[in-house]
Amino acid sequence: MVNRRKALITGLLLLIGYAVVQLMLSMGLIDPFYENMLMNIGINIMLAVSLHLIIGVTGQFSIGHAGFLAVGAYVSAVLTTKLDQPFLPAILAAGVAAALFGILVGVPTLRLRGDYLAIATLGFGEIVRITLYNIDYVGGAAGMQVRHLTNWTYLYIAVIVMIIVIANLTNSAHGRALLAIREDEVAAEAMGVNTTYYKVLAFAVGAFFAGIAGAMYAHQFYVIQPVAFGFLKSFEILVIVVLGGIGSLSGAILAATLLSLVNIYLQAFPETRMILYSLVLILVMLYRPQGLMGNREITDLLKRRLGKEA
Amino acid sequence: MRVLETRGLGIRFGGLRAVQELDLFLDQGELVALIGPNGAGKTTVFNMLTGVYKPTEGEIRFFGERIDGMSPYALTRKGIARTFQNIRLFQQLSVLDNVRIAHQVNTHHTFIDSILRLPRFGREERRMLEESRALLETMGLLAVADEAARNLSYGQQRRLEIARALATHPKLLLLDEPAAGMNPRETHELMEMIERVRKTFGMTILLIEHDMSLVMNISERIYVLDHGVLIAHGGPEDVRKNPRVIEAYLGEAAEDALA
Amino acid sequence: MDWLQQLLNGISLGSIYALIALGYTMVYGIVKLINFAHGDVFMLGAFIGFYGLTALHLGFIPSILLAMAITSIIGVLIERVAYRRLRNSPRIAALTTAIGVSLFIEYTTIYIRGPQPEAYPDLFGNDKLHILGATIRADALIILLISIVLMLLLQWIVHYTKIGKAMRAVSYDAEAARLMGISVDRTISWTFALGSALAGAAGVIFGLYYTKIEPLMGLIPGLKAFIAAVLGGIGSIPGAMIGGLVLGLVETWVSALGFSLVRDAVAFVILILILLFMPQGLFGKNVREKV
Repeated sequence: MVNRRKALITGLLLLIGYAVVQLMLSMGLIDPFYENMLMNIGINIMLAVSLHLIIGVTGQFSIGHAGFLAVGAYVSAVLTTKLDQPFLPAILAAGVAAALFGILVGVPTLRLRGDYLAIATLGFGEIVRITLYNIDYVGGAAGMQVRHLTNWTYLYIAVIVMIIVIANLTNSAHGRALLAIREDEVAAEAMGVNTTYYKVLAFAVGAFFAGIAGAMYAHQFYVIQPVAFGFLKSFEILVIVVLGGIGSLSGAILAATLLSLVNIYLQAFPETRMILYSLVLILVMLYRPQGLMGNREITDLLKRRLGKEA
Repeated sequence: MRVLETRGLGIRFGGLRAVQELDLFLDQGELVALIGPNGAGKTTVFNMLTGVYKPTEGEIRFFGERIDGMSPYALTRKGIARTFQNIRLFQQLSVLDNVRIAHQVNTHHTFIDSILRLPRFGREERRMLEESRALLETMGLLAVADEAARNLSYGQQRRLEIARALATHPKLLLLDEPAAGMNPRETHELMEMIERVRKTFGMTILLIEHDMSLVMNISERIYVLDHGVLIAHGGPEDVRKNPRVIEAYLGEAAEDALA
Repeated sequence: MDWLQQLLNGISLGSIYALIALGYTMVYGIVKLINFAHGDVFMLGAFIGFYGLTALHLGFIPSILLAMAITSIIGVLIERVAYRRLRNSPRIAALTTAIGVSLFIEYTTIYIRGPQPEAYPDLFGNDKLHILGATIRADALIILLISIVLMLLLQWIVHYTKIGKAMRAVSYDAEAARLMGISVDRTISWTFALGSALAGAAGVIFGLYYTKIEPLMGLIPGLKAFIAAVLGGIGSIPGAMIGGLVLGLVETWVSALGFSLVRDAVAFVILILILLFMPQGLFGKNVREKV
């Protein structure tokens, strides 16, 4: 019963959080600059947490995440602008299309480990970008104009659903199978874990949410171009996950929020931003490889604090 | 009842015949040892029995069914579990999770059940938790259930490896040098524990061991492997007296003396 | 008769890939790390060569030597500062750091001199040679010549000098090499120095041949050279040379057939196919994980 009450309280808090922001938005208390910032944070959280499932939980070093983002962005944009479909089915289609790509990448790259997998996923991301560049239907290098359809409600629901799905998946027998693969693939297989199935599952679910993030992204920033989905985008997402702490979901959320804010203030200085990013990455790896949170969660820390007080 | 049987089993790595023409069998409830000097091919045999390597010659039968070439996870699900010579625990995960991962071989909820937290999810997870705790209690690890596996002492890690293998509900347990790196007292305790496990679970066990003297007391039959070839097979006393075995081990002792 | 020129184009591109790939393969052979920043060392080589030729008014050969000298120092520094501490960390940590170093070099270069491209001075004019009825660019032959000389030099270093023997020993078994009194740290530094010098030379050659250089030019050739190294069998020096040539020829062939837009994707398709069907590459050893 404790669990049900906890879930109820959490649900209530989430609803209040949503309502407060929505109210402020409709009353015009949040100006467009901050609204944009909010959307940015939400999209980055989606990208980071979906990559967290692949890298942090399953231990598959994928650095082509922008490829999934691109698939989602383009599929949804084509559906809404070219085929005049409503936004909701376009969002779902973006997720499904990206998930299919996730399976497509997952299956051939399963046998690869560590750095080989990294290069192959990077290659996948580049192939997606180059392909989009060459398709005139979606505007080639110039990209596509997209209507502004993303709003707080869609994004909020998407983020919350994603966090619940990934958290629930992680805290279950299936999530433990993913963790086992991260820890030791040979041993996991020896314990009866079908590593092929689980790796594809991780890629599919991760890509699904990256695709949804793509739909949100496309319909937030008016225009999408292949150049926005290159290696640098994948790298940005990777930095968030590494900074948050590989294996920590709340770390990914925290780092996504933090870096989105930093980003906005550094937007005017793109070079400085990248130098800073790379320095942060190197320094974190050298001096705090576990990132902000290690593989712990915020809830673990709260529990410990409460335990001490009691 | 015949649990495991191999006929003409062999494997080549390039030009090297690491194991050849191996015939061995295990009957229900037996504890059999596979011994031999370093580099004899013992672990290679294990790797073939558990699907890590695909044999290039011969066949393996498990309860009469051909299993050579199946993948490791499928074999675990069929009832063959193993431990590793160089401990391969899930280091960062808790002791409990190590065992629970092995338990999930027997779960039936899908990932959709997990995501939506359907009733079946709760039922299965509760069952898994209870069984895992019971197993940890049997193996004397319940007190450290929430510790990360890497924080365990060496002896505890070895025990956890066995607990984890048992959690898959095996019909056949393969132990790869479970006493490696243990002092005589720990070894003695371990051997007692293996006996206990065998009695409690009615398990059939194949045990790899480097040190011949260790297995003399507990195994019913012993296979001796040298340079990938079976050089002796029989009861402990027969094997102990076998001149080829003595030669194989003497050769190694001489090498050790030179080294 | 334009096939000979195409062939030579392919070989020129291939030898540039091969020179970069050598650095990847040597470093990977010894420290098992994909030195992501290697492509950027190549870029730095191109710029150093450029400033040598233009600002310092050096000749062609001195510029190449200058580029090689400075990039080898940079290579050693990168290893010292960023990679050495991570030698025993998880591979993910090392690879992430390497990506960080790569971006750091790129954007520091942009920060210092801006993102605009430079045009390499034209040293050999439009000299054309007529062979067998085909017209070929003179600079293509020079590239080929320099690449061959550098690769022979490398072969000699690896096989006949003390440092080369130490490199082979460390890549075979670092622990055993240490016990034999070989300084592993120094050997690794040398490996980075040699690999980076080759990348630096490749940078100058690239500038000469393709004329346009810019701060982000290292990324794609770097990745492709890595693919060439994988194709040849990572860790194998002849493999890297052959892999580079094969990749250069295939790419030239694909663009000659009119698919120039997908040229960049071809390499990645090759990579995925190789990793799936021939993970040891053309000349690599089949390494299986110990269980």
